[in-house]
Amino acid sequence: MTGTSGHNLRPTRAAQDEQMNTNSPDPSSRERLDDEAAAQLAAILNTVVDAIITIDASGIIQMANPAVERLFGFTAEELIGRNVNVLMPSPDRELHDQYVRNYLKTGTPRIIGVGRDVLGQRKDGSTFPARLAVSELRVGDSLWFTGIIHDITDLKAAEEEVRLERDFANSLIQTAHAMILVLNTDGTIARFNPYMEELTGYALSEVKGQDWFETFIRESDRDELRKLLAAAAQGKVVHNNINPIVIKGGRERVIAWSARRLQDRSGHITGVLAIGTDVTQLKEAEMRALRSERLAAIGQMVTGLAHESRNALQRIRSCIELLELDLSEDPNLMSLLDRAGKALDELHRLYEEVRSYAAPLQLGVRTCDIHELCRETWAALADLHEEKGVQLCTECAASVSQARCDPERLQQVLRNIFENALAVSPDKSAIEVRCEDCVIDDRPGISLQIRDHGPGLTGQQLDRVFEPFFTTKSKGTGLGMAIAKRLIDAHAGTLSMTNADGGGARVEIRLPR
Amino acid sequence: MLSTQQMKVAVADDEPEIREFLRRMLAHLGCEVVVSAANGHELVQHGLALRPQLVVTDVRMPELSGVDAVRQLGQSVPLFAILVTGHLAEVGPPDDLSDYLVALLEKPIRRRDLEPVLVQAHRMVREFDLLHSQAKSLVEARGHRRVVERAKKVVAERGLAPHEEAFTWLRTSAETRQTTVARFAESLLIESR
Repeated sequence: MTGTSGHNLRPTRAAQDEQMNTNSPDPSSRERLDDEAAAQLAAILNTVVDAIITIDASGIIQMANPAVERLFGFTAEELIGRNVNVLMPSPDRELHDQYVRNYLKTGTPRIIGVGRDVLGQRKDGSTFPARLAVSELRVGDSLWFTGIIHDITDLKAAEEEVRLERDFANSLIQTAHAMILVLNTDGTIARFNPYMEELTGYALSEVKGQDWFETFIRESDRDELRKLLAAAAQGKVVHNNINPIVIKGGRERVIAWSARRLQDRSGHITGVLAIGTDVTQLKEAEMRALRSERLAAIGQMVTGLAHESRNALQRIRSCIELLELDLSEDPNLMSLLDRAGKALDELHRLYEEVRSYAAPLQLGVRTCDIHELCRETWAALADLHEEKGVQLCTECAASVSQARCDPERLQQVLRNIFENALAVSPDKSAIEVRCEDCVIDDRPGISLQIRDHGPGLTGQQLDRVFEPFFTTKSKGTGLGMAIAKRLIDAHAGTLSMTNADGGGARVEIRLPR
Repeated sequence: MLSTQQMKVAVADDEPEIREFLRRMLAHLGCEVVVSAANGHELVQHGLALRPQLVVTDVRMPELSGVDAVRQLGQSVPLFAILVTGHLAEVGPPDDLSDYLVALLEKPIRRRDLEPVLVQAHRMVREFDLLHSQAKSLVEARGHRRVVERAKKVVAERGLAPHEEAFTWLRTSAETRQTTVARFAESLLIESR
């Protein structure tokens, strides 16, 4: 229809057939064919949805189809003879003549045969987005142009909607406090969101393309989870699958995952989208609650046990003492009795330790000098530290070194901490104590930090150090730090442990003033 | 070891091994153990008959507790008591036994816990013997003892004698003035007000 062959429009099949059926070209029948072809063409032009306009080389509209009225508000009659730029908003309106002249001069098509999105202007001045297709045609000696204008308002609106949705989705992904991870079907990392970067400690660029399981999953879990990925890629919907991941530094977080597969437009499976929430704290709280129930039960039982054992301990003690009376002449036997007595002392101390962990606490709180308590506690441990030549270095940067506490209990805590520190300190090293001001729950407090130069603790040990019955030593109940934490908690303070810069472990006690 | 003047002691505990231990240990430390009771009733019964000067008893015993037994016995027998308990933190000394109480010991008791306490008990028994002999009744003697204890403090405070020798000082001062220790102590207190 828009060929450059001018007015030579091919007749319809029916007309062709008729022509062939006649033996000779008959002028009246040829006229009739032309008329029919023209009528069909007119019908097409009248009924197409898009606006079709032809202009001459000066830009003057020669023909406009009825659809033009629907799109632009002008009737065909109103437009014929006017410059086509009346249908364009500025700046195109002012420049159109120039565009045409440029083409005529250079022959370089800008829009002809290419098609472009433009703005059309209606009679009432409003504009709408349109796709414009232009082609040339020869009419006699003149060059005319045909433009087909397709209203793309709806298309644009749909595109805009899609763009808004995509922006929204991106914002969600960027800002959500949920882990959003896309894995390729082979298990390598395609992408993940900033929240996940934050949580794992890895930038996407560091691990993109690496195998997810090798990088983030414990060895023991890998097989099972690979199978799960494969199932998800097959179409299985994964919901609330909980597994730990290993983040930078070796610590673990427990994540609850939901996953489904991703497909492209042709239905090809491109990967798996997984959304995860960090349930580490939830799990820890559950475990703590469980553990605390169990401990409460054990505590009650053991307290009862310790209570009942007192008499037995007393009886053993009495017998040993009486034997000592009778056997005082025999040094060998006395030595055996001495050892029995010491073992009994240890047993007694173990019971006392468990009792002090499990029994209800009653604190006798008063204002004490923390610095002084440290020195007293250290002095009481002279046997331990003199032998190794370990020194205590104290530094007090606090405004005052007073705090409210139960001095005996705090000494118990300090003794535990010092004993642990001494156990790992190399000979002739130092244990550094520093106190300074701090804030606890918006109130003034004092922070006491005790640091050793031992090997420090692993990530796993740091996580478990306050757990009752957890110990890195071969002897001991493992209750020391658990008791210490219990005592400090009872003071409304905090007790924490980290590795110090430059090696060794650091314990921090914070107490309210 | 204590002086040759042996103290008469009663022991009471519902555990036979502990009774045995106390009996033998106290004997070894120079006491004469006259009563070995398994509960409060026995303590009172035998105690009334044999009149011990010192009672070493468990606080909690079946039927009649050590504390109640000491209260009962102390009405008529001039005695002092060492109380033994399993829970020092929870059980403080009963207020009304302050006249009798030498010490409150926590289980398990060891020889080294007993020795210093016995020394103190022995001194208290000797002092009270003198006061009792100078008083008309046991009750009066106990009252006199309270006065004398206060006077001892004043003597020490005024530097007249160290606390351990304060009683001796009061006794010799009273003898010089041919009066009883209690009366002298009383006058000292009046004077120092």
